[in-house]
Amino acid sequence: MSRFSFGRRVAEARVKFVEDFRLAFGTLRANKLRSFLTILGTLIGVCSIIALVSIINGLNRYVAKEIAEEGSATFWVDRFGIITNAEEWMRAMKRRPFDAHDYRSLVEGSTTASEVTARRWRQEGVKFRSHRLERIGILGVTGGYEDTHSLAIAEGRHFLREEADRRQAVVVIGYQVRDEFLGALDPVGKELRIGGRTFDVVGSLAKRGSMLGESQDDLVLIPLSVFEKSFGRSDNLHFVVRAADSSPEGMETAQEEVRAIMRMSRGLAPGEPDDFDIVDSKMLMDLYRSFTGGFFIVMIGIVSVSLVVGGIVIMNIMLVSVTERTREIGIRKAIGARRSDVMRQFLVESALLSVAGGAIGVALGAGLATLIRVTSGMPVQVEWWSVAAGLGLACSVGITFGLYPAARASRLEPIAALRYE
Amino acid sequence: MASLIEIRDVAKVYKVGQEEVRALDGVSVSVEKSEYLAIMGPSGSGKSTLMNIVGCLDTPTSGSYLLEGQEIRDRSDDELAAIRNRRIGFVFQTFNLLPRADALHNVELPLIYAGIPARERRERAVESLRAVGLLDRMHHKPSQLSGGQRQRVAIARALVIGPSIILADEPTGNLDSRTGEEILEAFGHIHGGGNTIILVTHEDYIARHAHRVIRIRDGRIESDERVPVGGRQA
Repeated sequence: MSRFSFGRRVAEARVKFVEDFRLAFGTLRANKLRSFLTILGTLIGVCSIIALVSIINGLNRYVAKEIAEEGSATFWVDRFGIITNAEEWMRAMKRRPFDAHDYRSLVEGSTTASEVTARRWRQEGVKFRSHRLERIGILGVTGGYEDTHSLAIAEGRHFLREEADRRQAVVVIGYQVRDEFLGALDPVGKELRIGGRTFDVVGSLAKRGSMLGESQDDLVLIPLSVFEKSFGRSDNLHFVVRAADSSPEGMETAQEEVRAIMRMSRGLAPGEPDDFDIVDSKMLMDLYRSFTGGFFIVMIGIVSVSLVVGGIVIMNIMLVSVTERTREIGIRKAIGARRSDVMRQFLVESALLSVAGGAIGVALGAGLATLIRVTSGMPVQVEWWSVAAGLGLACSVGITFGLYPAARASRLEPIAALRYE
Repeated sequence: MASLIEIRDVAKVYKVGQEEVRALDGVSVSVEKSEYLAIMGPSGSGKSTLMNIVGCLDTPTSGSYLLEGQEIRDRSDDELAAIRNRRIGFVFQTFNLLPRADALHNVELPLIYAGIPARERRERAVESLRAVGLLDRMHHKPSQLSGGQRQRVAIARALVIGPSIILADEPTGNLDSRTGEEILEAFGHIHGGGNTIILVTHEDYIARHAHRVIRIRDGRIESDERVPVGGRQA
């Protein structure tokens, strides 16, 4: 007898469970509007999980790719570095701007760098014939910039070191500039006017796309020497260094050497702090991570609040449901439902409610993620683990907040429940 | 051989505020298998309390109740539920069917709590509905059935698991007299098939269908008499 009883109990539990599901579905269908309102909280909570996880991970992938494209072998030497507060800004503003001497020191002194580019940047209008584009990024760079910048050429070529040295007015144009001025025309050999000077187009860049809604194609590159002749030396000068050895150790050695050369060039005494900063892609990635980490915590907070509120709504409705169905519970108990049977019936119902909310939330969240991918072009993708986590959370919210109403239902006295009108 | 029901000196005391109400005050009854028994009494007499105790919906404050030789007092809620499920079939005055479920599903309900698989459950429920003549109504909801039909569904539900006792509490109370008569006939058939029936009523003409009538007043048994066969209405 006892040998069979376990198997039999499992079979009996299955029979009851199937029945509980049928019943819960029936109840959900019978009160469509009420069920929908009940699950809103869970729905919004899970929708936020799916959408936010997709967006953050999409952003992570995107930023990681962008930063990796800037090159793991390059680093930047800058007067400002990474500024995260006003105090740092004030301190950086007091630093002496970089000059040609600093650049020469780096180019001549460094043994571990394969290329050092100096660069200034400002926004100016650009003219082609009678057509003018405002606020185009003008990048003044030294020759050899193609080794320190990951800029792919689509048509023509980069400008040469000799052209830069001879202060020739040559320009390489970004995809957007090319597209708006020339459409399908060949850009090479066309003339642009920038800052009152005429430039010969020698090449155009491949499309880079947009980052966080900002186009990365609205720029042109001209020799730094010509830049300074046209716009002076007021724009911030900074350097981009490519380490000959791109391993982490090689990067560190190169950065140490650059630091030493810069300190000497800028006449810093031993013990005096650096009046410049060195930034590499790893630091940018770390900065980005710490920023999105904070975002993640805020997200967890928002999601928890909406899930708890959703749970309370479910509990409230389940208590109403138990009261409404007191007589039904009495009938069930009279014909043999145990406490656990009644308890399970109501738990399955509240779990089903919240999982239904979760499922709709997943669908909406996935829809939102897709919408963002289509509109922003970010590689936003629904993460499977977030779907599992969302549904799991929804289910546990339903069970947790369904416990009290279900326990109350299960403890009803059959006689009293049968008499209930 | 032990009686089917052996109630000895059972009392049931309710506390209403400060006051104690003795709903049953030393009741002793034994019922044999296949009896057709009516419990009669005015409202407040304790007949419903007695029925609840016999039906294991309630437990006595003192005294002993043996059902098929087993003591019912001090049983846990779950054990009582199992006894109600397998040994007792209830028929109520207000039918007590689940409004959203069709006739078939209402009849299947006790079998679900007994953990019987769907296919067997359905066969047995259909058979039970056939026995009360409602095969053509099995997919109707209670609201689509007449009072008499609802009560027949309830009878089918009470019978489906093959209980030891059918316990009917004013089963014709909500029916017109012709339909009530049909229901009583149905009980006659069930009894003819060897079932034990306990009928709670306050109507003499209903009690006359039974073979034995117990009258209760103020929580005590006033009379317990067997109805001579000749004096019974068919």
